[in-house]
Amino acid sequence: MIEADGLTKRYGEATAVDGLSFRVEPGRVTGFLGPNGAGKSTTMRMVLGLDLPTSGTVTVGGRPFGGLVWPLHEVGALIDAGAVHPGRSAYHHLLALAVANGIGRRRVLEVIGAVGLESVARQRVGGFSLGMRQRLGIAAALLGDPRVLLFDEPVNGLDPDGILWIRTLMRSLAGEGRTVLVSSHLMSEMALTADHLLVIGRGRLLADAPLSEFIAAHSADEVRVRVDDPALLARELDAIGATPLWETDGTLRVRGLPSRRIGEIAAARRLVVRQLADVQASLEEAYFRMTAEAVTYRTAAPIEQGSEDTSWAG
Amino acid sequence: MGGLTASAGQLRRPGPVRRVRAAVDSEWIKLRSVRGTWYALLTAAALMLLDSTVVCASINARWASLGSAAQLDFDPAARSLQGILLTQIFCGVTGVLVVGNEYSSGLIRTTLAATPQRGLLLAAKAVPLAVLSWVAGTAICFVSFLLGQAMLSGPAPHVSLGDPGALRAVLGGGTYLMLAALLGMGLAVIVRSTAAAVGALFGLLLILPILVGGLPHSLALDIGQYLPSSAGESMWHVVGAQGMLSPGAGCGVLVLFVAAVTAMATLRLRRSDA
Repeated sequence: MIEADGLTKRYGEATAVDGLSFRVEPGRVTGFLGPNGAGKSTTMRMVLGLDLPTSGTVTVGGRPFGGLVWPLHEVGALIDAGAVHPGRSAYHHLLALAVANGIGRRRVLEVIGAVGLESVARQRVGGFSLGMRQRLGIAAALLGDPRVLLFDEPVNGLDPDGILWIRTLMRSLAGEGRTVLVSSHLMSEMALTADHLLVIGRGRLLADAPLSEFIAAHSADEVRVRVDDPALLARELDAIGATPLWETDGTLRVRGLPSRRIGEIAAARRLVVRQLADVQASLEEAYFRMTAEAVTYRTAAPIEQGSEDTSWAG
Repeated sequence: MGGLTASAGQLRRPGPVRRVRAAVDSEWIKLRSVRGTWYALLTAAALMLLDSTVVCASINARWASLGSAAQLDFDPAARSLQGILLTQIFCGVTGVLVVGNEYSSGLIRTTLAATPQRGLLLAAKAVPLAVLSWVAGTAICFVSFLLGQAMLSGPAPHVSLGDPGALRAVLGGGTYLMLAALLGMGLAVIVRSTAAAVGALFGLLLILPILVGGLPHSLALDIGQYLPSSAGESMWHVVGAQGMLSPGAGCGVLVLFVAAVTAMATLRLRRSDA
């Protein structure tokens, strides 16, 4: 388990992480979601004791990371796949890390096999593709068979096979009862991998909820309906105050009315229903709805400069 | 992933001695598994042997044309070891690379995630570097000395390892090269960049003596002898020149200097975010 309490990091005037408190529980994949620059990486660096918090604390398994004598046995992390010496072989890169924590050669070969790098293990890392480096970084995280795993943007630069592989790996690690924290700015990927979400924006915690709950809480009930005379149905819906939105192909989008009720109205008017469907919001839609709410809330307070930071590169 | 949970857990090794040993072993693997280490040492060896051969052969050939003062001050051991002036840079760069590469690639974060005890980490990096550079440096100095003395076949005088001060100068040369490597490492931790650390190393060991040499004569002598490179020079000289500390004092000054840089490096590593 990872536990943060009032975690704050300031760089001069800029606040990268602002009073974050959360718990990352074992046995599930927790997605750490937020736009670039939201403070995800800074938070992960503080978890790993690389950066010192300005205030607040963060512990892993109840202890600060700096107090771990053999940390690879407790926490495995992929922080930056590029963080390798280009002139060193994959095998020696992993061996040096393993030996630093009393882990033997057998285990090194084991993790090399597990990430599928056997054939290139003796080659210098400088010639590796980004995907191969990601696999190497994941092998390093797995070396000590840790109970807690942190992955910062693990699918960046991976091909579809690699993405599927990582997704499966995360799920199986969580399935074994480990604590898995995965950061990403890719929401479609999060929607497929995470059980639970921590959403941050500009260093603040915006949401801490199960994925399904998060989507449900931030999606409007909407029904799409296609009938042979949409104008007639639209008038009927207007009359009871459920004004529909038109799409260009004549499909109506109705909010605040269950699909059963819409079907009944159409039947009463003898309209032929060609399609009637409840629309499930995607994580992306839910996220943007939530941040829109957050922006609305914020503008009630004095307007801050440069708040247009919800851009999603990549 | 069943196979992944198999064998790492039971290999945990308690105890502070084991902890230090693990960190040192790890850094030794890193040092020996990159070609740069070996290229730097090979280049250092080649340059030094070439220098020793050429310099001593040339002195031997024009011995008669040297003035009597120069003949009187002639230090056969030091002449065969003066390639150290070049070699020190390569040893220093080996030290720079131990740390500089980790900062340029970001590997330092992975390293610290495995060994968060930062003081221990710095020591663990220093030990294999010191041992390797001392062994290689001393070996290079021995061969240079023997090669150089062989070139001084007469009329120029030569010395053997049994002569007073000769063995001390050779061992002093190896020790000086080790200290240069540690200096490079310390500088790299402080500036966190390979290029800047190499620049600082050049400045300290090669440029600074030239700048001080430009000062008025007495001042230059007073200050000059305490510069790290000049203090270190006394370690591989047998015949002391004017404005040169005794070998023991010179070694002491240089060790203090390297210790100060290392202390600053330790503070920097422990206090700053990685």
